[in-house]
Amino acid sequence: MGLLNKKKKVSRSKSIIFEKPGNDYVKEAYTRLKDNVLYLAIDGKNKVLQVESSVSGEAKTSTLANLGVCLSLSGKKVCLIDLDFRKPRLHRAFHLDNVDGIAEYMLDSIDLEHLIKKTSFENCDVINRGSDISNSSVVLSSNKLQELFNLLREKYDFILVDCPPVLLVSDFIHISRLTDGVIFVCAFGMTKKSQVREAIKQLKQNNIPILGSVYSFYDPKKTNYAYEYLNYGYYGYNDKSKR
Amino acid sequence: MEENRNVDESGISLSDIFFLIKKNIIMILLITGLFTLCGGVYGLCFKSVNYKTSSTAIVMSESSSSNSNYQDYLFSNYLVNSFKTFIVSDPVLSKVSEKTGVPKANLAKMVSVNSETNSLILKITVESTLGDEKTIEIANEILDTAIEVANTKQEDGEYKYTVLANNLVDMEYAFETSASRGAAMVILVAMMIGLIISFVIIFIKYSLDDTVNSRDFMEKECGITVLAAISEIKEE
Repeated sequence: MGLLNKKKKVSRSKSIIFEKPGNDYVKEAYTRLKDNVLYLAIDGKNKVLQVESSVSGEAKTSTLANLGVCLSLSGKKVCLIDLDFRKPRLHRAFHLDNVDGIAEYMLDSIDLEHLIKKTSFENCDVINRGSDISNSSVVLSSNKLQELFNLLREKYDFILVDCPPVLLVSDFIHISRLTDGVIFVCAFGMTKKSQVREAIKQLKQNNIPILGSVYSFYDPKKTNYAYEYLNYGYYGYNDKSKR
Repeated sequence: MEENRNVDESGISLSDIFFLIKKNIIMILLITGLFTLCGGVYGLCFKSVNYKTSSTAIVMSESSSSNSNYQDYLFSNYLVNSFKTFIVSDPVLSKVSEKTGVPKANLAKMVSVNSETNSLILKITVESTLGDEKTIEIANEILDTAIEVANTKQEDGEYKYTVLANNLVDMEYAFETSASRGAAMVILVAMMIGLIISFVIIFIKYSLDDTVNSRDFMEKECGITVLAAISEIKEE
């Protein structure tokens, strides 16, 4: 039964863990992340967060999507925006089509109502990229996008922005003028330290506040934190041992 | 100030070392096992058998008489030590080499002479890989040749080695050998080499691993608070 019951890794595009039962320890980790983000947003600060990473493949989008859902489940109104114009992935996490997005909005083809997509989670909305955008820096530095963000700030408690990796393109500089700070995602055991240091250096050089970091693909068995490994499976929503 | 911290100063703690060993235990066991196996195969199947035998001689001096005094005691000790050197000296080994056909340089490595403290008995030990009969032959030839050379007379009839002449007598000739391959030592050495190599590999792996593999990295080296550590999602 142990072999039949073996867990397999899930494609990140299908990775809204709150859609189905299981993975309690991951849900608990997102709950902790959500609590920390709520703490950062005390007094109304830091409500527009830019989720960054050094390179691609660090689970930035799935971290952002799950954080957004977790915030919405706690009663907050959340809007997730995909500003990774080269590799938009956010719509896939919520099983949406990548149509009628920012590209169309910037061309005045659609209005705000059609731009914002509802998801299966109440209070969690998504704005996707839409069709290809050839000149991302023009769009990101435009006044229209700034106005969009101003509107969204009034409407939502949190705005989470999915961005391209820091070391690949310089879009993060333009995006930073729209946001309050960065949450830096780092793939544990995969990203090189030199890459992380360089990405953080670039963020700091541009005076972009880094509010905190998140380890993705974290495996306590690969660390020296024995207490963490021993207690990792203890907490769960279906924990049978009564505390 | 923390931003200017020299990252190279961060070292590895004892717990990190034990953790690395635990993490790579299978590799350590495999490499050590492989080397031990190779050592065992070599030691038990390919290594030459080492034969060992010994003959004994007794140093006859006036100190062996019942009226011995302290000077006799000193003299007998002097004789014992002299014979120890004499038996493995060039005149003796050259003759033994001629008789046995074993090169002198090899003989010098094979032969050792010992005696216990305050004892007049010399033990001539021979260790070789030439077979048990040859080893016995060498041990006995050395004994006979040492006595013969010690008693060599010159043309004028005087003993060439006056001090040594007639003072060495054969006591027991070698008649059997003990054989061993020394496999245990080979296996032990192979095991140690395997362990060392596996630790070297771990060290190289650890040194070359530039990935973020410590939870402290973001907070201590980059100065950024860790908000959460999220594992990979698995589907049942």
